Amino acid sequence: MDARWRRRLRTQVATLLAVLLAATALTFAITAVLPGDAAVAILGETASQEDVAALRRELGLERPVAVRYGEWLLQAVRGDLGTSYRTRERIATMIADRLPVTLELILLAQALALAMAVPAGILAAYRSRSRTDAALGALSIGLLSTPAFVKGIVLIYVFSVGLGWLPASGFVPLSEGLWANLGSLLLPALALALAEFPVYMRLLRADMIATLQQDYGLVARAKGLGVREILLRHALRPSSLSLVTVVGINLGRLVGGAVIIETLFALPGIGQMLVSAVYQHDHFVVQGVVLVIATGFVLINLAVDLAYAALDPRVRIGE
Amino acid sequence: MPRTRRAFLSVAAIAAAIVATVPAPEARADGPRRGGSLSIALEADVVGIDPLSFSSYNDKQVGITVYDTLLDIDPKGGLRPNLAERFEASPDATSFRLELRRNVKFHDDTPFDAQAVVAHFKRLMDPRSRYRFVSDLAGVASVEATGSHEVTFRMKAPSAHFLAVLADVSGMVVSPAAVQKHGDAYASNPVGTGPFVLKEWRRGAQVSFVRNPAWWKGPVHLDEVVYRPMPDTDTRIASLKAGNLDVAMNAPGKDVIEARGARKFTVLDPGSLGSTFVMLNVEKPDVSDVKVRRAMAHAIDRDAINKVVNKGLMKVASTPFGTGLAPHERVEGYPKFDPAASRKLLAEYGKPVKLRVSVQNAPLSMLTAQALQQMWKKVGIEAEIVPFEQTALIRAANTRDYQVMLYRWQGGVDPDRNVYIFFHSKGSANRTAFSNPEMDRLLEAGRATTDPAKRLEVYTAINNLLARETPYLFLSYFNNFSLAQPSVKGVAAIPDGLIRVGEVWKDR
Repeated sequence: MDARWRRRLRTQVATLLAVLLAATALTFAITAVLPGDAAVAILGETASQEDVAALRRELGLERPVAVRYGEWLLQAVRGDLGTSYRTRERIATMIADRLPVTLELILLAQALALAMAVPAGILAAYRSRSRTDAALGALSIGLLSTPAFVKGIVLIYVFSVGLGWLPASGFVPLSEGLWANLGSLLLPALALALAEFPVYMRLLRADMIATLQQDYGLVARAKGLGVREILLRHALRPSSLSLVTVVGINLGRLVGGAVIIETLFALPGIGQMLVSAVYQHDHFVVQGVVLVIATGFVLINLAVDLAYAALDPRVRIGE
Repeated sequence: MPRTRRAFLSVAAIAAAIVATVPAPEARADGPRRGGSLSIALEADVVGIDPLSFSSYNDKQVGITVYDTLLDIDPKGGLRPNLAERFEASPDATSFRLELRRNVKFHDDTPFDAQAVVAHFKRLMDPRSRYRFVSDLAGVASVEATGSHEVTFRMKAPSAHFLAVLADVSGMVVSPAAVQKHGDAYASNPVGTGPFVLKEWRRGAQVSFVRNPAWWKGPVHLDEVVYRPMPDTDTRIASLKAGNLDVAMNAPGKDVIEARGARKFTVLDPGSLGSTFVMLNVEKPDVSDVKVRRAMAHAIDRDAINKVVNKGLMKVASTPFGTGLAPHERVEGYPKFDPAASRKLLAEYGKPVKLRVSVQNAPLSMLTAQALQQMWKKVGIEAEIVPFEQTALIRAANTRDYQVMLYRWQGGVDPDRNVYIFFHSKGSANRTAFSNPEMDRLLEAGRATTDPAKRLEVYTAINNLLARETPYLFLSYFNNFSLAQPSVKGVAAIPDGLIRVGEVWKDR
């Protein structure tokens, strides 16, 4: 087991590095060809041509992209993500300040999505082809085909403007109370969760229907076990393999959703930071955020692999 | 018995306290109320709370919360004393003397005096500071403390327009002691003389300020001002409707119209300083001929564009000067909407006119460009729209790498700032390649005298010259409308659009 584990770990680390290298190089190349000018963004529209040219030289924007990427990489490897062109803040600090907000948002969204999808999926599978199943199916198609920002705006108008239950925007840190904190994140997390919920529910429903038709499903029923027992103890675990994979992969996708939702709900996460950095041509900030997101994505995939092993004994190495 | 008695006393005390804290209804109506927190949405987080890093209207708003400007402007755009109690120009407008207010202190308790003001300007003018508005100070030869509370600016050339600069970002005086103390971290630890003191800045989330109890202008009414960056326009309006926000600045036209109709919010209209216009590079083919330029102007129905793009909210423009500047609309002969006249001029020109219109890739700019394209098509001018990213557009403008461009200028507090750098043959931002000896003479004359009547005459002549030569085809003035909860009171309509939070109060 040890040797195999080591080999596996080595492959995973190599994949991680390859993905990070590719993602950051690609981002660097894209930001380099993006229209616009960091020097103009910093100096403003009435700056003289000489000043703009001087700043471009100072920022090293005139040098080849490959050289600049190489330098950035050398620094990043040493753990130095550099400083923002605009705010002159350390990028590592900026990310450390904002990452917790995004993480909390995404985890809350996943929790909400699963809390809705698991019971709904089980219900739909158990009552498959019933009216309840059809209604849940229609609901999920509707939710899937509505973009996140539309769901966000609708939620704001219903729960903030209409009912006045939750704030329409802004973030309250945990230090000011758990409930205020959760209250400020509930609507944005729900906007994200409503996009994931249908996927999870349909997936669980399909797998569950298949599981219930297996022999052991019949045996369990023949043994005289109750519905609850069969569904939750015998059918749920073997039916949740694809769900676990998708939940894992979706964590990465949710970061993409967070970019839009954080901007819409004015949350100080890395998504909003990324958007404003792109607008302000703050290249190194973009690089830093991409590096963090890519790392997170690869690590999550690794975690999904491990979770597999825990759920399905057949996947366990060495057996 | 003692127990009951104590209970009775405390009930009486509570009752008395309630009576004391609830003001009589009639007292509520008159005069500002003290207390409350005012929340204002920003379009983006500030980069730093330091004049050095200010660039947008947003930043300036945060700026005047902590800092006071040396001079201020009144609703008509005229200068008035602020941190400088008196100001005086030499007859040839080459030197300016400011008498500073005494007994003013920065938030760090250091004195506000001539030394501080001089140190402030030295910092702004230091090339290493990379101050964005350094071009506003380009004409300054020296800044000296000529008394403990007297500062004298000497200029390289006559500069009647210079005083207005002191009512803008450059006039926001920072505490030199705080700059010394915090160094590079000053922008996160701002210290001014203004109505509010920084309490906490959670980057990306909010910046909050608390009342400066020792503000020299008098008692500050609000306890607190909170700025929240909200990049999405719909979110700003929804937050206002949900009551999570007191003021949404720079509100979109449709929401201003809705608010006016529903009367749920106060519409704050500060007037305008600048305008939007079509900018023509007179070195490029076709538009180098004044006949073509005038034909293009005659083809534009400015009222229609204003209706379509601005919902009719803005005022149609014929000059570069907004409502807050004296030469506003003082012009004769600006080409009117007249397609027949346009066709006649094009026939005289004799060649087909082909335009490439550079535009920022923002929805309203694209809409304006499309409207222009249609209007020009009707008189036989072919126009192609080329969308640009914002900084790429600015770059193309500054390097004159365009033929026709849709542009805007938010405007300065002095008329000079809307024309000199753009139309002087040696102007630092002469983007139209405009070169006209008469214009140069007028622009110099506008700087050479501080007499308002003479200056008005000069800028009126400039308007007429621009109407004749049409390097700019004016579209509309632009006002930065804000929407506020009805409880927000005491906001003066100052044309720069900034809310003087020191004088604002909240009615509950």
